[in-house]
Amino acid sequence: MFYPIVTALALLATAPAAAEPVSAAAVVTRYDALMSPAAFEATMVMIARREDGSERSYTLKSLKLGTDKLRATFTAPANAKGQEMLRLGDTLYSYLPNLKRAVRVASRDSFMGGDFNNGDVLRVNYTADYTPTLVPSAEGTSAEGTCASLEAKGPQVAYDRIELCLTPGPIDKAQPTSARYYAKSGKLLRSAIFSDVKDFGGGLVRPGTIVMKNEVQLQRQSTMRWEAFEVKAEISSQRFVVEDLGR
Amino acid sequence: MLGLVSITLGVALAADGAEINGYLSERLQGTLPSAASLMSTADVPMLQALTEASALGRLRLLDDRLTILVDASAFITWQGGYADREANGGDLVSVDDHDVPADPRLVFSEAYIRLQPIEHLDITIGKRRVVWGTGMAFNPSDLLNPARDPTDASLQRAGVPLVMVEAPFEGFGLSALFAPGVLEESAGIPSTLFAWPDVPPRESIASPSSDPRDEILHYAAAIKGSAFVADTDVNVWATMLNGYGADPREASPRFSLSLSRVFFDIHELHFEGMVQAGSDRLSADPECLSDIDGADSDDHAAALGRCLFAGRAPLRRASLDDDDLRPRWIMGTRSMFADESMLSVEWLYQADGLTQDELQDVFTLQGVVGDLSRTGTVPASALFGAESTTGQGAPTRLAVTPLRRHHAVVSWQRPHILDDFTVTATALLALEDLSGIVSGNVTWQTTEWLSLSLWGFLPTPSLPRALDAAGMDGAENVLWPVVIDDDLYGEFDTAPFAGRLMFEARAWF
Repeated sequence: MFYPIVTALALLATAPAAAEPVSAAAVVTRYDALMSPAAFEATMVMIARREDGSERSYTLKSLKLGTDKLRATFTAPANAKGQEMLRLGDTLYSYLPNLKRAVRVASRDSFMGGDFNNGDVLRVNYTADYTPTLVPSAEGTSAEGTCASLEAKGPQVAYDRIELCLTPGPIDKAQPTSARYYAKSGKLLRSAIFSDVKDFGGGLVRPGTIVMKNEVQLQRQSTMRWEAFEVKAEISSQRFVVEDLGR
Repeated sequence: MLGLVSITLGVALAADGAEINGYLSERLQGTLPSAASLMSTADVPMLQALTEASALGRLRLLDDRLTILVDASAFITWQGGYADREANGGDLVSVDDHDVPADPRLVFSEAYIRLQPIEHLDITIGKRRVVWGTGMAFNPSDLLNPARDPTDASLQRAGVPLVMVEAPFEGFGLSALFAPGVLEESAGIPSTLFAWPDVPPRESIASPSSDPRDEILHYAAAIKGSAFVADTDVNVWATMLNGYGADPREASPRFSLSLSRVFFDIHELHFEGMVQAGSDRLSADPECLSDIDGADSDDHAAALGRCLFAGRAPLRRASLDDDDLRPRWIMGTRSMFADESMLSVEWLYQADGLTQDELQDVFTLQGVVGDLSRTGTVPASALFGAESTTGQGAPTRLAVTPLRRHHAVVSWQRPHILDDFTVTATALLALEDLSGIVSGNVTWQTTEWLSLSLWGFLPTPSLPRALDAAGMDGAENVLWPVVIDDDLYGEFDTAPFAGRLMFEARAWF
């Protein structure tokens, strides 16, 4: 009699503590920490696939500082090389090498004609831009994991609502798996699959690929692949002034 | 300096961290001269082929604190086929023996060294295009750079030699520049800057009266403050010109302001303005014109000669020394829509633009000079010059200098049509007579490295001229036209071409 009780007590002592419930805010914070750390330099390749099956690819370097400064510089193809985009808060600038000048652009514009928005690439800060609520799963899917519905806080962001799912389990180990992006009318605009989780060094383990599917023009999709990702301790703030574009 | 920068860059480009890209392009252009042009069109080629090789090299060193950049283009032009209206009216006739062989040119659009000795301090030395205003089709405050093609703002990249110091900070910045005047250049490379040497230019040795030398220093200096205030980009600057460019005045100040703000996320509103005392605008000398206009057509040449012998220039800058403040501004909006299309509408105002009477005088003089050149009495480009798209900087598709006071530029662009096509339409209108030039373009990005473009340019008649052609009485009282030999003209009714078509293939590398 004694030994079963001792065994049961031993098992209870070694059993893992019941997992704390994950908050919606934690989901968004985890996503931002992985996909858009406070300061980083990255190299990405975006491949846009069109209805006819043909593809256009763009290579860009991305530099981010804080929550409201991001600069993207195109390095390929040749006809886009030298073009830059700079986000300062809610303001977006586009630098065209032939114009030798930066002009202001709208954030809802398609990014280089692909299925990502300018905001998808230049304004990844869900904590600041969206109000999260936990949901059982992403609408219309049976995806397992921790999911949150994100409502836009204002008109300056790319989507009015996002459903975001992370892998189940402890939030500090969770990885984004999928997302669905909606217009104000409730219409599904895009859906994304996050994959190719890898170690980019410096302790950063995160998806290396996002496939963004166009839910309006179903034969179109774009893939964003991170070739390099380096979290930085500091970046000169001068890299994020309009006058620095083009240099 | 340009040579040194280029050599340095050429050697260093082999190093890691160097970037180079550019394009090769071939442009074929067909122009139909206008029989309505007051000026002779004998120098306007009907066929033109322009081959361009352009390369931009950039080298970053010392952890991006030192940047060396060269943007250079080589052009070869072939042009031929000329026609002009017969003297005293009539149809277009071919002008013989007028073909011009290939005209090679090298243009360094930019070549500079930029150094950042400490954070928030940049020093640039070399040739660079600096545009502080927010105007798209025109920059009335841009006193330094070669003018843009208003139908394609991105076409002209050429800058000017300068030294510039910038202190950019988050939310505000200060800039100062000094630009020596380019007094002579060869193949796009300045050979004489700032002051004339003791030795006269080669061309003036045989013709001392054409010696352009003077004793003054030629330069422009400017200082600018910029700030981001209430979601608005604000730039304020002062420029001092001393015998710089076409303006011969010394110590001539200008004050400029530009603003840009986005409303409702899709409408960008901008303003760019400059105010100056006096003006370097050319207008007809009334005494010369009175003598010329009062003479029989057979005596026009003699009247013009009398004017010149009296030391009077038929075209002169009459307002150089007056104290009247003459602002110029452009204001407009650029809206971007959900289908990625963009619509830009701008209003250009020039207080020193020609009034109806002043335009009447200029057009009268153009008519006289045009008739004299058609009879071979004076060259086709006398006084006014031919329409030249190969002036300073890179050759443009359209060379336009707005003469009157009010102009509108409306531009619409839709990219990513069937993914690879971009369509652009632009209209430049003189608001005082509604004459204009419209252009349309279709560009096909066939692959990531090859684009094909088709351009068309068409002058549109002024409203008075169109009503007159339709038989309406009193059309001369509609808006503000000019009357030459009982014909009504608006500003762009005298365009030297009736239509222009252009095809361009551009391969990127």
